[in-house]
Order: sequence, then C-alpha cells, then structure tokens
Amino acid sequence: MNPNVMNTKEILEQLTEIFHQIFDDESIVLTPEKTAADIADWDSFNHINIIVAVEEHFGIKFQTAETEELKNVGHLIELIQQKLEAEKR
Amino acid sequence: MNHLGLTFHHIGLAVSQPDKAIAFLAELGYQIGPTIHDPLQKVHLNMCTHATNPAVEIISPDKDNDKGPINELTRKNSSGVVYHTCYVTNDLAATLAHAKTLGLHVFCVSAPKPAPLFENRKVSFYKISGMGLIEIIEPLESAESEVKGA
Repeated sequence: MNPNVMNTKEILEQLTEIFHQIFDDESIVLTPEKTAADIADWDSFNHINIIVAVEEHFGIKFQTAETEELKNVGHLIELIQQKLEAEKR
Repeated sequence: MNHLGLTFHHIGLAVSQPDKAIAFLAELGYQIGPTIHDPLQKVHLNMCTHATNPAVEIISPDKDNDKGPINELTRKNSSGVVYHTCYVTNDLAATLAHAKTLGLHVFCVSAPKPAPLFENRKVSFYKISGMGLIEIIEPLESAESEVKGA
C-alpha cells in the first residue's frame, strides 16, 4: 500500500468525526466491527448522508452498488483506502 | 436561464397511509390521481395536481415489503414528511455533467428505472449536497414498454 495513503486509524478517526456531525452525537464510538444495527438512526437515509459526507471529506467517489454492499465500518474503511490509493496512482 | 435543463415537476410527500393527505389535498382543490403500485420502487403512489399549486406525489410504503426505501422514513415520521423534489430533464447526462461543472456534489442514490406513474419513463434519484434528495424524470423516449420485476 502507498505509504502516503492514510492508515486505518487515521481514517477511523476522521470517520468518527463525520458520524458525530451526521448524528449530532459526540458519544458515538466507531470500531471496524460496528454496523448500522449498532447505531441508532443509521437508517437508509442517514446511510446516504454518511456516504456523501465521506465522498466530500476524502475527495473520493463511490459507485452506488459499492455503498449498498458495505457490511460494517471496517469494510467502509477498506473501501476508502482503496479509493485513496487509486487517486494517488 | 435554466442551465441545468431541469423543470420542476412535483414535491414528494411520504406518508404511512395516503388517506389523510388525499383528503387534505382534495380540500385544497387538487385532482387526486389513482393509486399506482411501483414494484421497482416498492411503494404506492398518488399524483395530485392543481391548476396553480405545485404538484404533490403522495408516496406510501408497500406493506408487503418491509425493505422499501421509505419504510423507515414513514416509521420515524408518522405524521408524514416532504422528502424530495422532482424535476424533468430532456437530457439526463447533460444535466448531471453541468451539475458537476458547477461544483455540486451529486451522489446517485437510485439509478434510472422505468416508473409506472410516469408512463414508464425512467426516473432516478440523487442526493445533492445543500439541496437534498431530488428525483429526475427522463423524456418519454426513455420509457420501457413494461416494468420488469413486477
């Protein structure tokens, strides 16, 4: 992996900030294992808000199908890393 | 000047049951269209039109499918909620390309699909930062002869 691409910890920290803003809840603690079922109000509408915020924050673009297949936060982090890696090439 | 090539079509109102919205809009003088089932969007729809007011599309969940796109929305907003605006375009690709040149952040929520409510013309949904959820209806030429997946 390109050393200039953010590592998992950095992405998780920035994702946590995004979740705090979207859910207006600074008590949310993200881990790679967390899923939508673990966070109140993480419904299909807020899922789109998360995806849009992630795209804008990291400067990446998802395909719609990619965002529908996300299993957990860890999967989202991996996808962000892949997109960032592709941008840097 | 309409650089995006979009013409306003309707406001989308999501409700658990359409009867109260229908009664309210009828009292305002709206013509209430028949209930149409959209199997691809997994919703029931009533298009309500008025001589001078904006058109309103009443959307209610398909009760036989608990994974529909507005099931959670109507559970959390039991009194009903306006959740999208809809526009018509003659050229979807040009509209989206122009939105990009404006620096608008556009995320495709639902790719183009034929819509029984609009003569099977293709409709798609986009989340635009700062503007919310919009629906775009394509021209009649985009219509498919039947809605697959029904």
